[in-house]
Amino acid sequence: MPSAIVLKGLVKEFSGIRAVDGLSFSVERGEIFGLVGPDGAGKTTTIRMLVGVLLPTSGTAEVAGFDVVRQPEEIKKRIGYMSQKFSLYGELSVQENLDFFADIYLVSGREKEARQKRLLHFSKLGPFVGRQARHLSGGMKQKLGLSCALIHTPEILFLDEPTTGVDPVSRRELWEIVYDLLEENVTIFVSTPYMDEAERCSRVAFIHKGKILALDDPKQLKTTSGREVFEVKVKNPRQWRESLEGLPGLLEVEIFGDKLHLSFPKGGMEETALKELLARPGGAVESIRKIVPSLEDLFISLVKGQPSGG
Amino acid sequence: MRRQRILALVKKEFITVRRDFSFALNIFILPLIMLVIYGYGIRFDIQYLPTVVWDLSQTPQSRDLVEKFFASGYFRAAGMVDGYGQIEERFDKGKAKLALVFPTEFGSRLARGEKTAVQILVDGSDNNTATLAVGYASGIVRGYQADLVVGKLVQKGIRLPFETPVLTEESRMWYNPELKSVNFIVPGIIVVIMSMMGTVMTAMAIVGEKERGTFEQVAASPLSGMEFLVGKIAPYILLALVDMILIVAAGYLLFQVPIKGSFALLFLFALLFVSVTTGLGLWVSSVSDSLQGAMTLAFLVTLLPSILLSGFIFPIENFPAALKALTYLNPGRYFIEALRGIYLKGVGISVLWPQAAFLSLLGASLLGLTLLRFKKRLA
Repeated sequence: MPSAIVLKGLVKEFSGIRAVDGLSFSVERGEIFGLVGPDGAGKTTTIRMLVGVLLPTSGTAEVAGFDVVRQPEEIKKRIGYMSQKFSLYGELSVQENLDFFADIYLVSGREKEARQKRLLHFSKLGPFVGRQARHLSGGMKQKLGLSCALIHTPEILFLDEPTTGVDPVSRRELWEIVYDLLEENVTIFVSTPYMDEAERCSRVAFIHKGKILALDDPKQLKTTSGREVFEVKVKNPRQWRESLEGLPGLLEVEIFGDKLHLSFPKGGMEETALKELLARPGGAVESIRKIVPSLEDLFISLVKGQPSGG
Repeated sequence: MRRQRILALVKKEFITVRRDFSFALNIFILPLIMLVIYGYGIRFDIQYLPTVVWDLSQTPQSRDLVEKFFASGYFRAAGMVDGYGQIEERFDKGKAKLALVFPTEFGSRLARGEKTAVQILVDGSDNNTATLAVGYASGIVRGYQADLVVGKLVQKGIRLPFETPVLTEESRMWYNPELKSVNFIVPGIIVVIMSMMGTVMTAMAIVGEKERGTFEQVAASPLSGMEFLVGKIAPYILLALVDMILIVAAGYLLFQVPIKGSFALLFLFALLFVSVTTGLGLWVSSVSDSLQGAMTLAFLVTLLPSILLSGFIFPIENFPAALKALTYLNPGRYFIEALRGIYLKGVGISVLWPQAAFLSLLGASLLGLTLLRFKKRLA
């Protein structure tokens, strides 16, 4: 079976500025792929081109085997899309929104009833069917948006920052719905600025200023990150931080509560050696241990490693 | 084009309109307010214009003429004054619009058969009224002059040796015998309201979806551009027609303005006209990205032409040539001609077919162009 999504040198310029700068990768069927990066990295622009509402400046992309420029209507039949901004009809109730999207996707009769019942069940929106969408909480709005995007059981689902502005409980519920979809072999393409959410994906692409910095399985990314991180527990981390400058091979020091994260190049430091280096008179190092670097550590280091071009 | 999709859009639009108070205000309250304001407010005819008199002659002749003024129904007494200063004061305060000034020798000169004059001063700041007032006033003075001549002959017992030719005028206002302004205005209001409804509401409905992001959601669905537009404009065409019926009914109930011609023909013209104005609305929505911009542009392309360049208030015959040529592009012009023809004259399609043809042409080209140009994309 061909890949669900294929990008080849995809570029989008807005008045001379490259918002998306030559993306090439593919997403396989049944995987959950995360596009991860800060605001303004080009996530939304990429998704808009893939769902066929924005024309690329150059390059090509295929979704479900169809070209985004030449066959957007074929794509639109097969995908679900939830845009970043809440974009349902606020004056319409939950039920009316579901009905509207069912009609737009030509779902009717018993099928419509059955699907709506199921979507209301797993979104837990059943008790709120009569409420106008504009009066729902942030989390419920997103769940309704997701339900509307799923009314026609799409092959591929595009979610643009689905959890931005959503409380932790609703966020967890949203992810549970997404995992249920994976079991039905729906391909999911999700963008997020949150690193903890990136860990939930089967593969992630780090995107910054329209370019891919790294692309892999999150576990793999961390082990091949080319760095080692030690967690050091001390009494007063702020004072320690300053005194550590100039430590041989030290890439970075970050404070996490009463602990310091010290990053070194891979193989650049041993735990025992570090212990000796930090054993100073008056210094009270309570513990030292080697930890797996977080995706956030990695992303920051990748961004810092980029040639600075404004 | 799938019926299920279009019906879904139409239904959605009606629910939105029903639940959004400002929409309801625009659709039902605004037209009635406009009808009442214009209906009671705009008067092209004059009645009982307040008139002051400065009579220096104090003679039967001057009193006679003053009496003729007030008996005419066009003027009413607003008091006696003494001097130009007082006249000016009354004009400034709006207490009087017209002043009659009789010189000291008015009566005696007339009695002697000499030439004299009555001065008529008019507040010219209201151009329309002033022109009409002067016309009526000079008519009254001429009538009085004729009476004087005849009176003198009779008084002297003179009988002319031949039959004097007697020429009188007998004027009738056809189509609007009482010369009621409101008969003229109700058709005009229909034009104004329907062009606003068609253009402003359509443009706002579409740009609103762009601004709120809902357009992006439907653009990423299999809904076709044509389905989207048809589903979006159909409700507003319907609402515009409802408004038309509302104004026709209110015009009849509030101002006793009847329709002489066929209501079916009126409806047909309304349908043609609204296809042009929704076409304009689509065009506005295709060039604006914000509700604010769309509103401004929509008002500019509808309200101004439909009030100023349609012949609603200012007769097109008096326009300079360039402006007159421009009115041929104004759909409001054809619609107002048709409406007045149907309303006041009761004429049929045999007379109004050129208007129908022009409206169809404008509507078809505007709608056609905008529908073809519409893209289901964000930029």
